[in-house]
This record gives sequence, C-alpha cells and structure tokens, in this order.
Amino acid sequence: MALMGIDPLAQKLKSIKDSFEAELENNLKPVPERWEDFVSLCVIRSGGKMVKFKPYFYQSLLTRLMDEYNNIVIVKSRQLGITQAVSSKFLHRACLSPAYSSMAFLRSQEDASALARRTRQMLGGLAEYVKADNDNVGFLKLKNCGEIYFKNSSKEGSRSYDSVLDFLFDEAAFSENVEQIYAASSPSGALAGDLTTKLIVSTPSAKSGWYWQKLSENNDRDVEDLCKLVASGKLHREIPGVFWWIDDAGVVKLILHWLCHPVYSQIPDYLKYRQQQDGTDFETVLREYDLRFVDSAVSVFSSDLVRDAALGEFEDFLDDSANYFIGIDTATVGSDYFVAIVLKERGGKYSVVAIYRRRQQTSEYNLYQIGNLINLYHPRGIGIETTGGTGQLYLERLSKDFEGYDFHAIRTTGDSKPVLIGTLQLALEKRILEFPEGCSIGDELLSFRRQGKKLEAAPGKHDDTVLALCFALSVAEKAEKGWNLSDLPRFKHG
Amino acid sequence: MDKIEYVIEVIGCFYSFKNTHILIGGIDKKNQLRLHTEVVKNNFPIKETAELLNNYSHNIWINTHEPLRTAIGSRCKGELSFDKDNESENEVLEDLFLSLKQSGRLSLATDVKIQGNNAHNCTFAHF
Repeated sequence: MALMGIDPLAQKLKSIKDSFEAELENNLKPVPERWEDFVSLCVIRSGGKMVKFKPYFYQSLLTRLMDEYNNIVIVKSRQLGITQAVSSKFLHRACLSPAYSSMAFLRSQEDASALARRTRQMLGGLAEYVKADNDNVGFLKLKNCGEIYFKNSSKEGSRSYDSVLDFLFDEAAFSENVEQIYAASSPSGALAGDLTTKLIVSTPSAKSGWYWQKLSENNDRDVEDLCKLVASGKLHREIPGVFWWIDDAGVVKLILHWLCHPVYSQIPDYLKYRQQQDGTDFETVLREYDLRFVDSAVSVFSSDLVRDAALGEFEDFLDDSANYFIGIDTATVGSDYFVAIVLKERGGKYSVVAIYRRRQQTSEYNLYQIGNLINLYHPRGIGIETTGGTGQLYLERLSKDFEGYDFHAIRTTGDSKPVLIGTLQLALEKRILEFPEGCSIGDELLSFRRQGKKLEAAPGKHDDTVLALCFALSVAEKAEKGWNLSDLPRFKHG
Repeated sequence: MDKIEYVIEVIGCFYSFKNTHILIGGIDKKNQLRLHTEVVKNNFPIKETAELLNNYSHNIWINTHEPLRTAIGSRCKGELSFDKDNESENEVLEDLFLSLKQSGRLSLATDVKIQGNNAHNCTFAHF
C-alpha cells in the first residue's frame, strides 16, 4: 500500500507485467506432436555454437523405436548424441503429458548434472511453448507438464518413485550398480505397464557383466561379430553404421557406429584422428569408437584365450601316467561356493578333470567330498586358501585325515593375488591349460575383472572356481619347478 | 640282479611327532644317490625314532630338532633347518636336488613313493 502511495506508476507497471505473464502462460503455444518438429525448436550446443537441434537420421530412428518398443539395448560409438536424443525425447513426452515422469541414470553426478543442464538448455528455444517449474539440478519439472529426474547411477536408485514411464541407463557397462538399479526400477514402472520404455545404452566394455549379458542374451547371432561387421561397413540396415533387430524376448538391439554420423564418416582415418584428439591408446579408441569389446583395463582374461581353453573333458578315473593337484577355495554358509578343482598334469599340459562346487553345505559334507577326490586322484599337492580362517580349519582336518599328502596353505593378499592370477593368465596364454566346456570356469574367467587395484568377480558373479584353479596351478607349478620326482629313474630293491 | 654296493650309506630323517619321514639309501660306486627304503610314521615318539635309526649304521642327517639329536647322539652327521625364515638354505637344497636329477645321479627304488612330495629329504640324504 505504501508503494502504491509513493509510486502508483511503478505499481501499475508491475500489474501490467504480471497480467502479461499470466496471459503468456495461459496462451502458451501447443507443443508440436511430432518429435522432429519439437526438437527443431530446441537449442543445443554443437561445435562450440548454440544452434537449433537438427536430428540426424539415427536419432530419429531411435525415437521412433522408443515409440514402438518397450525395451531397447544400444551399443554405440561415443559422441553420437544418443543421450541428447533420448533426453530430448523424454522432454518432448514431458511437454505432452502432465502425468509423465522419466528417469535418466548417468554414470556419475557430473554426468547427471551435465545432462540436466543440457536438457534445460533445450528449453531455451521453447519459451513460447513450455516453462520450467523449478530450478533443481537433478530434477526438471515443467509447469503444468511432466517431469524428468537425472540421477547418479553409482549412488541412487528409483525406489520410492512410482509410475515412472521411461528409464535411461546410460553407460551401463561402466556402472557398478546398474543391475540393482535396473531391478529396482521395475516396481517404479509397474503401474505404467506397456507405456514404459527402458533404454540400456553403453559403449562397449569387457565381454562380461550385466550390460554384456543384456546385450548378448536371446540373440540368434553373435553380437560381437555383428558389431565388427557394422564397424567394417559390411552390415547395415537403413544407412551404414546402423543395424538393429528384435531379439527372441522382443527387445530391440540397436548397434550405432560412427559411420552413421554425417560428419564423422567424412573424416579420413577417423579412428586415428580420434586417437590424436583424445590423446589415448588405440585399444581405448577401438573400444570407444569402433565397437570392440576389448578392455584389458577391466577384463583380466582375454575372451579368445578363455574360449580356446574350453576344450577339456571331465575324467572320473586315475591316469597313472599323470600327476594330479587339487586347489581348494573354502566358503562358509554365505552365497560363496566351496570349490575344489582337480588339475591333471601330463607332459607339461594341465587340464581340469573334476570340479566340486557347492554352497551352503556342512563342513562334514565338504570334507567327505574332498576325501573322495583325494582317494581317487592321489594328488601330489593340495593347495588350500587359509585367509580368513575357514580354510585353516579344513587344512588342519584334511592334513590329519590324509597324512603323507602334501598340503600347502595359500594366503591371498593384495600382493599375492595378482601373482596367482598371473600364473593362470600365463598358462592360458601359453595354451597349456584346458577345462571342460560349459563348466563354471569359463563364465567366471570372463567375469573376472580389475576394479582399480582390486581383482575380483564382476558384481553379482563369483570367482571361487577361478581362485581354486589358481591354487591348484600354483601348487602344480611349485612341484614342477622344484621337487618333481615323477621323472626320476627307478630301480628294484631287495 | 647284481647287488648294489654302496660307498657311503646315508639316512635322511625329517622328524615331527605327527609326520616322520625317513629315507634310507647310499651313494654307489658311480657316485649316484640311490634311495631304497622309505619309512613314514605318524605320531611317532622320539625314542622310537631313535631306536629305529639305531638299527642302521649309516650317517644320519636330520632336520633341526634338539631332542632327536640328543637321542641319536654322535650318529647325527648334521642338521638342517627348514624354517620359513631359512629360505636361502632351502633354495640351496633345491638347487642341489635339481643338479642331482639333471645329471642322472639320483634314483629311487620302485616302492619308494615319497608321498606328500617330501622330496627335499632326497637331497637331504645326499649330505
């Protein structure tokens, strides 16, 4: 009132401004129904400039697939603007429906904030159509319209949110918790039913882990081979660099290679150009841009070597001309397995001939089974991991029950584990080790990875057979290196 | 079959109450170590071990074990430590074993199994 008295003109101007804004809000233009028309209004940062979003063919294709299918798994080269395209689709859907809600899970908080900023930036060209209702970094609510959450997949999940329609799991191969987050996202989307779209997107990593499993399951062809064919230009659908199919479970699998990008595809020797630009090694370039599932930084055992070693067979008899060794990785009542591996050595070649792998069994049962293996194969050496204490109990009991056998207590520490794993790696590389096809060793080798300084199974996977095999090999190697008596000359006495 | 003549007869005895391992043999005229008898005993007292060893007139080598050494007295030719902190000595033993093996100067009787790969005893006996 005081203000009115002092400056009636200012009050009048404010009133005009308010009514103008209210008018504008009530007279917002209708958002275009077609995504292509919608995004042509959006402003994005591209090539160092702010420009109108002109989608490439593959971006349009992706949004059409999102309209038709509920689940899409994408393997892609970097820098194709897939995350941008998906977020623009989410934004479009949010503009069209006040009940719309979606979630984008990004690899880190920085990525989540960056995508949130880019999505808000797109609103810059839509001032006459829609307005943001908040100023939150991790959550975009549109006035009288839907909402989008931007989350850090290393920390957050989607529990306690309901009726979320669309999910993006970005860089899923590199997110440790993505499996749990994906599992938790199902109840959030349950009420939405068929309307939900779940996108699992990543550049390639190792051929193991949840993302690889999602990408490679239910296909009637090898994804890695398809990626190589697409990268070579020998295979494509609508345009070079694009290939997609529906798997046996109705999930769209989409391969996007930089050949589909109108600019990148024109750069001569693009991969070399990328290497110079990124200042990185060629293996990383191949993985990030050329759809190669090679990652020595993550995957410990080469998939080719693992595949080549899966040629052996189980043997339930004693070969007198061979030496046998047993490696034991003990476990208690948890989810870990108690594993004993029988390794046969003959002529410098090793083969796994028997595996005992059980969990949640009594120690008496485990001891009985190990006893059977010892009685059958008469091993020259038995290695038992004693770190943690449980193994020590087994070692003491077995040493007592099987006196005269050579038991080795093996301790796995931060220093000794890489040596043990290195022995196994070397045996695979020298092609002197084989194991039966289809046994758990192959799977566990492929999902064994290096996480920082730690060597361990991928989340949700086990490494008990890998370790038991390492113990058996270590004992065998010790015997071969030093006190090997098998090739000594013999004489008759008495 | 000709009887083997030994220039020197030796015994290697690795004693622990729970697991005692004795190898008996000798060095023949060709300077070859031949091990013809193996005795494995569990829960075997020192006194009985000493009595068993006293049945032979061989030189006896044992692991470092004061009570056993006292029990066999002057028959003990020498002692060797197999403690973990004595690894350099173990390496010397291993080298000697490999050298004997490589030069064909070590052989075992057919019924000598050396279960438990207690092979350092072979080299041990060579002393």
